[in-house]
Amino acid sequence: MLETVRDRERTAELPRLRWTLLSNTTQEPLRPFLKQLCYDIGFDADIWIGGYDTALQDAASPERGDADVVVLALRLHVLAPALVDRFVSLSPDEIRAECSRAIEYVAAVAAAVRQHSRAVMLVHSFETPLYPTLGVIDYRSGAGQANTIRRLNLDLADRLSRDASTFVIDLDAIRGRLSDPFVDPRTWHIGRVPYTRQAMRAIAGEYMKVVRAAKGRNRKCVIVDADGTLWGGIVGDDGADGVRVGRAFPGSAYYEFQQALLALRDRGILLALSSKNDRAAVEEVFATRVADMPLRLDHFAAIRVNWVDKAQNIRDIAEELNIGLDSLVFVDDNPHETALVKELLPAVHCILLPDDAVEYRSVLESSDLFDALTFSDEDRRRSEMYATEQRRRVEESSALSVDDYLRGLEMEAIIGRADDRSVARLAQLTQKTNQFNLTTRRYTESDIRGFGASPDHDVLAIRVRDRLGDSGIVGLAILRHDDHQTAIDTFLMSCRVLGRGVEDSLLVACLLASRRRGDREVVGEFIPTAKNARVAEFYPARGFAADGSGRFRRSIGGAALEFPAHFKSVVVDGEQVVS
Amino acid sequence: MNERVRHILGVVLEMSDQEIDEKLSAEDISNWDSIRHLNLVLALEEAFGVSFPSEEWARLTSYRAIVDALGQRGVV
Repeated sequence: MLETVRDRERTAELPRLRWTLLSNTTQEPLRPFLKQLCYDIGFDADIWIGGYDTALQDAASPERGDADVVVLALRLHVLAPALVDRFVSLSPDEIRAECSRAIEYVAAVAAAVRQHSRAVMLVHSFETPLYPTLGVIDYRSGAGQANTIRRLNLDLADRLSRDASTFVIDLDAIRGRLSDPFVDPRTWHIGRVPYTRQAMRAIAGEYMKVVRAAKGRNRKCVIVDADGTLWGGIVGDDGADGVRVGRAFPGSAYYEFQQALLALRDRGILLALSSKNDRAAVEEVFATRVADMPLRLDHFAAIRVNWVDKAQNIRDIAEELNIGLDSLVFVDDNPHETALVKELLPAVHCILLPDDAVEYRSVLESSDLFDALTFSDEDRRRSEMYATEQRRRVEESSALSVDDYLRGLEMEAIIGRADDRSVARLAQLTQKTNQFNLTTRRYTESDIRGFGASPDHDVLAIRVRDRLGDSGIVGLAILRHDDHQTAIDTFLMSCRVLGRGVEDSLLVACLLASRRRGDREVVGEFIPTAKNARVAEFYPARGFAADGSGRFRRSIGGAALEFPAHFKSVVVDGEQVVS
Repeated sequence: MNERVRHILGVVLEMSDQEIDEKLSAEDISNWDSIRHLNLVLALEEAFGVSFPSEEWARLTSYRAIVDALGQRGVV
């Protein structure tokens, strides 16, 4: 932490991340921790800290309207001291009044920020008392101090979550995870700094979970080893019936670890298996130990059981699943394997499991690598969709020609506007899509709503389904119309549908939308990143002319705009255009 | 001079090592404000594994006072 304060210059070339901290306590000591954690994920943090207890005034000032993240750290000790210090002296009416005053204040600050900012907002919850004033009997009643503050937090969360870009920072949860003291009475009395350095580091870390997710730095797939990871022992030596896994100790540690992996799969994280083994031996464990293992082979979106080195297997898995190496997490109990992968594939995040298997679960759960800002039905179904994709690939290899194959898929595309049901998914697509993404602009739900409501913008979402399954919403384009010109602000596609003409369908829909507006020209933009090289030629290959400044222009003219011929049906804005 | 103390002073007060001598005192340094003082004491505590009671914090406002306080605790 000490180093960061001095090493300003090294962050000069990184993209900036602008923070505004509004508080009724002293936040200055948080600065170096935040700076360091931002640097760790490739950002130069520009941190502005409001005055002491002037959160509402600071929030109303439009000066920091371009902040990326706004933190509201309002402590109950200052906001409603009677609830903290003299709770027992208050009547039920007074308690209600104090609570509602506290919530209204926080809500007012949040609303003032929203007046001129679309920033991600992080709002601290209130700490519940470690030692409630009435002691043990406090917890007997819902009207006790601890439960009153818990309810206050629930009400606050309900109130704030109406805004899609606002997230609660649960201080009690952070305090519970911390093995060091959370508050320091010395710094509180001397300088109104409530939290210890360890606590501030943890609080800044919690902010970063949201930031990483908003900036698309989260991971999408976990690749696990088998022997010593999914079960104890070595199947080649101990046999399928000899490996340790099951409800009873010591197999229970592995059972729980498998549950934790399955829980990740439930939220849309893909699982993959990479094991140095004979395939038959691993299959036998999955076949014969069903009662002892929550995981089944078909929970894995990709499987590599062979004697090839793991770096090669991981590359293959990334290719098969069509995701970048920096979306992968590799988990193994063997330090040689994790070292090899770290060396050859530094973009992959490696987790070396600890010696004691009972720790496996918490190592995975505390890794903070998988946070997403939204959770949609697509997430719930993603793993199934990848399974469908595997079936599709098998058929692809036997079909006569690619054209025949595509026609045989009986594809249907539905292109429509952003609505309440799709907005979470669309925001998530902008946050997570890296490879087929022409501009890689990250947007929150409220950004997408803003574009949807704007008369100068069109937000087009494409959903596809075919004979083999429904892929859901897989692509998004955001158009800005200005002076008879259409600028394509965002054009992105989930990689799992590439090669089937879905991107062409969406582009045709963009051109049609532009023509309907009476625009004369469409301007596409390609902003290169480390990951989107595959779409560098997207516009030139589709009749757009490069103007030398990263933009590509195509006049609308009278040319016929045709959807790819293999689509069985295309619906645009509720109107059947191909059938 | 104690080099660890000098280093911590330099980082927290954003001064170069050359600017820091044994006579350094908060009275002469505009950078040595209350927030930096707080960070300074916390950094010293972390680096030397000691803890200063609240009433002592206000006295740790010079290089000499810091080294004396650390010396009393047997860590320098």
